Amino acid sequence: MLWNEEVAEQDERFRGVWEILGGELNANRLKKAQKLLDVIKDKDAEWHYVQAAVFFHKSWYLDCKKHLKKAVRLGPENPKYSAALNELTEMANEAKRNGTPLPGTGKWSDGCAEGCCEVLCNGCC
Amino acid sequence: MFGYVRYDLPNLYIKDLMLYRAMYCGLCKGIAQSCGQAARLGLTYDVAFLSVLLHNITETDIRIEKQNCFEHRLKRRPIAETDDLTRELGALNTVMVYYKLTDDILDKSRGRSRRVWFKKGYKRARKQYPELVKIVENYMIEQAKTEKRNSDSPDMAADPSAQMMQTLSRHFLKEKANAATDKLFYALGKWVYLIDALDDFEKDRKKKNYNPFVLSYDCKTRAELMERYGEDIAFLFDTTFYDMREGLSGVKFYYNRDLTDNVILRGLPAETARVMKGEAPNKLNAEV
Repeated sequence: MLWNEEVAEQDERFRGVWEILGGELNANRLKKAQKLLDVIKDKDAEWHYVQAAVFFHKSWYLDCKKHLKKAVRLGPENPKYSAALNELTEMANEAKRNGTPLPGTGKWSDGCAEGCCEVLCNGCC
Repeated sequence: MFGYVRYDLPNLYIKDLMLYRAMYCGLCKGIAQSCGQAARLGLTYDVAFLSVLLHNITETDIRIEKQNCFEHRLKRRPIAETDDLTRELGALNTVMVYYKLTDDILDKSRGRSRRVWFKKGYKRARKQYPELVKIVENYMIEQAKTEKRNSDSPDMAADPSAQMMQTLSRHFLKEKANAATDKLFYALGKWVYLIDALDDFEKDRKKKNYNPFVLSYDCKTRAELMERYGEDIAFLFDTTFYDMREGLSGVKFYYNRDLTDNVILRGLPAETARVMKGEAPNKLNAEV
């Protein structure tokens, strides 16, 4: 899972945030992590990456994705940003593969299965 | 807010259709017992689903017997017997409807006459289940505060509703609550908020009501929203489904889980697809 392997050689500015994210999480501790992030003025690629990590642990995945995209844009040379973005995208793709896919996502229900169900139940739904 | 939690009929076993109906009727009786007859008018399938899910996870067995009821006086129907959990969920149903109507009054100055039907029931719920009502009340205040901030983040906008569902699950599950149930119920609460917001996109845009999708995406219609930003919207819901699936895999179910799996794994995605496509609600009745 994303960010589980984060270790101490991280940027010193974010040590407090990683310590919180590495421990047992609850709403208050996540609020504290957000406060630590908010006081950092230089919002560079790493800052957006750490912000994405906080959002990920809050299950705010769309916000997480937006910050990962910013991190990739600001620091294209760092592969961990794009790796995290790919992993997050894969998470959504996994839901598509395992569940009833949403429209326009090109998975199996766009084909036969959905149509067959409609025919079999004879317009009952 | 209500009416989106649906089963996926083509994949629903007949036994589960019967069970859902029996639980729905049982909840109706539960509402009457905890909040009075008038409050039955607020009966929702959403809370009936919650009743099925919570009975299973709390290991509360369900007894179904043929009974008469208020609406079906002549023909006896299979109805789940009311227990403490159903009565408290009946109170939750009433409180949620009461706050929804209060919200409507504040938003559009509409719903005052409907709310009168639930006032007595709401007062009874407050008296009998103060802890439950406090949870809902606190999160309604949080939701209003979040919406006043005019955030364009759907994640942030949905957070109070998601947290409310999570806190309610802890309240009902007690020692059976854990990280998996937290994840599942947070995702369920988030989904309920987001699907309502997506469905109301055009209405909220026109009436200038708060809606994170309206603020976040500059589109005139839902069709345009889906055409230009469909990927974002699908990502938002897909990750919510991912969390539901993750949560479900860690939850211990004590009885058969076909019905709840049908709703969570198939019904909610199918309903999401319907709203995304802008289609009318499907007819969900089948003659058995």
